Amino acid sequence: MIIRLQLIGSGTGTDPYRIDLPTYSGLATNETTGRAFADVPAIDVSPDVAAFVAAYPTVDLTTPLPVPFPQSLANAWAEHLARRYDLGNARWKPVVF
Amino acid sequence: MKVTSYAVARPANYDRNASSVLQVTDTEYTPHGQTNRGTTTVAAGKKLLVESASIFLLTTLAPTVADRCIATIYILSGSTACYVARLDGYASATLYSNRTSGLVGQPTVYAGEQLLALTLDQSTGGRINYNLNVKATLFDS
Repeated sequence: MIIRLQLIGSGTGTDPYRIDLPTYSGLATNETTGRAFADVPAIDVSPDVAAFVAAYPTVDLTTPLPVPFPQSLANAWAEHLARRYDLGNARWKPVVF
Repeated sequence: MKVTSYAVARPANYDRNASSVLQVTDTEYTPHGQTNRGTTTVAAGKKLLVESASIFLLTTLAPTVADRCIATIYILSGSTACYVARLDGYASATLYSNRTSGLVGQPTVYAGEQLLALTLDQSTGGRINYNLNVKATLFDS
């Protein structure tokens, strides 16, 4: 599913622009607003996050969300990813943005 | 003769709860910093066999000043990057000129490792269509 997320990184070789997810493709970025569209596997998205994305559709990489992404959903998504990949201390903290 | 044990062949990888991984970028971008366009992280208990990878770049708007342009598909294991396919050089100032690169070998990516696609264009102006494709099979290790 396509989700608009917070862009991280500085665009350098050691710190490329990316989103904080273990798996995605087709990243379209706006380095100025710090937003990016990515195609994320549905299995990596917890149902409550999918519901939030559906409730607040985004059409561009500039217009802010009408409400900020709740910290409780961010924490739940991070736990969902840590459980699914089960790679020791590896953690991801994606933010719908 | 008493047989106490016997060998049973393991199923082939494509018969071990396998699924396709398609990591595709097919978009035009203006000049930009180094950007990971796609990432596939291999979860615990899984392996990823990379079966096909290709890069195709097409200049769709000539730059004012051509500069370094990179498109690469690589495996990241810890902090070490191993390139699967790579284009690195000056962006073409000629409209509709293209460059291509393809998979070398057929690498297996192990749990905790990542398969990534990265692009960079340091030119001034212009636009390039980046087509980076990976087809891989994810299966139980």
